[in-house]
Amino acid sequence: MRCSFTTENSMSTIVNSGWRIGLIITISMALAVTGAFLLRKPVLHIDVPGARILSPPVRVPPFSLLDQKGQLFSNERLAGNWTLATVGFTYCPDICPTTLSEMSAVFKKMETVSGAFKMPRFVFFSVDPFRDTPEVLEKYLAYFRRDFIGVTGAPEAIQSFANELGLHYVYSDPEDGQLVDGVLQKPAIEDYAVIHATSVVFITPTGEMVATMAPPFKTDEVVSVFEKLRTHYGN
Amino acid sequence: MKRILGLLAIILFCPLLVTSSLAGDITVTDPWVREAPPGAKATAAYMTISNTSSRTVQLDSAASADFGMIEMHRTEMHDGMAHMKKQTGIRIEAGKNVQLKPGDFHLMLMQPHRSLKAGDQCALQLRFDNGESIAVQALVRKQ
Repeated sequence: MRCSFTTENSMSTIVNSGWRIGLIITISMALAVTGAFLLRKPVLHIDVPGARILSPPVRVPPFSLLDQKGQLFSNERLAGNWTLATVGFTYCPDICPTTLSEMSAVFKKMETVSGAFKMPRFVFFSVDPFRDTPEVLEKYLAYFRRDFIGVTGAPEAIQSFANELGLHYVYSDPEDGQLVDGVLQKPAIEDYAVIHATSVVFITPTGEMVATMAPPFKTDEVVSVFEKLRTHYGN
Repeated sequence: MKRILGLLAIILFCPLLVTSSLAGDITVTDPWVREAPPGAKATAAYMTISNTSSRTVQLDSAASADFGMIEMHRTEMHDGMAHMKKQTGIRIEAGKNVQLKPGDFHLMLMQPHRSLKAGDQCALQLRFDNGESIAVQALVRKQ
C-alpha cells in the first residue's frame, strides 16, 4: 500500500516536473522571440523622392584608382568616414556641373548642422579616363569645393568598379546618339559623349553602399537622407 | 528738360532691354551661361524662349563670338542614366514657351575663345526658322 502510494507519488512528480519543464521552455522561447523582435534593427524607411535603400547593402569591391593628386585611391580611402559619391566626366556641360553645384550646397549646409557628426567626404569618380587625367580633375573639382575628391584610373579598373556598384556608363556619338562598343578604348569620335548613371550613392565608413539617390539634389532632402542613414547605420 | 528726362529714361531702361531681347514674335527671357569650371572644355547656356505668334517656330542655330561651336542639346534621363541628345532644332509651339534649363534643353557651348567669369556678359545670336534673328546678352553665373 505504502509502496504503491510512493510509486504513484513519484509518477505524479515526474509528470508534474515534465509539465513544468515544458512550460519553462515555452516561456523562454516566447521571451527569446519577443526579445529578438524588440532588439532587432528597425527597417529603415526614407520618405524622400528618388532615395532608395539597398537591401542587402552592396559591398564596395576591392579597387585601385588614382585621386586628383595622382595618389593611389583604394578601399582604405573610404574607411572611417561616410562617402557620398557619383560618376561623371568633366566634358559634361549640363548634368555633372549641376550635380556638383548641388552637392557643394549640400556640404555647405552639412557644415552648419554637423556638430553631432563627422562630415562625410564627396568623391567624383570619372568614367572618362581618356580625357579626365588627375590634373584635369584637380582644377575641376576644386572649383566646386576644395575638399571634393576626384578619382580616375585605368579604364579596366573604372569599368569593374562602376559595374559592381551598378553605376553604368557607355560612350556615344552625340551627332546621332549611336553607342560606342566597349569602354576600354578611347572612342574614335571627336567630342564623344558619355551616357552615365546620375545617382549619388551613400557608402558607410565600413565600405558598404547602403542607399542611392536620384537627381535633382535638393539640399534639405540630401541632408535629411544622410542624417537618417547615419543614425541607422552609425558613424 | 523733357529731352534730358527722356534720355535718362532710356539710359535707365537699357539694361532691361539687354537682358530680355524683344524682336517680333519671339521673346527670350532670363538668359544665362554657366561659368565653366577650370579644365572643362564645354559649358551650357540656358533661357526661356516664348513664341507669341500663331504658328510653331523653331530655333535653328545659335552662335557667339566667344565660342567656336554651339550645338543644341537635350539631356534625357532613361533608367537613371543621363543621355545627351543633339537636337537639329528646338521647336516652340504657337503661344507656348520652352525652357532651356539644367537637365533638359540647353545650348552646348564649345571651343571657348575666352574664359568667361561669373558676372561677365556673353553675346549670343539665335536664328529661328521664321527668319527672326535675336541678339541675346546672357549673364555668366555659377549656377
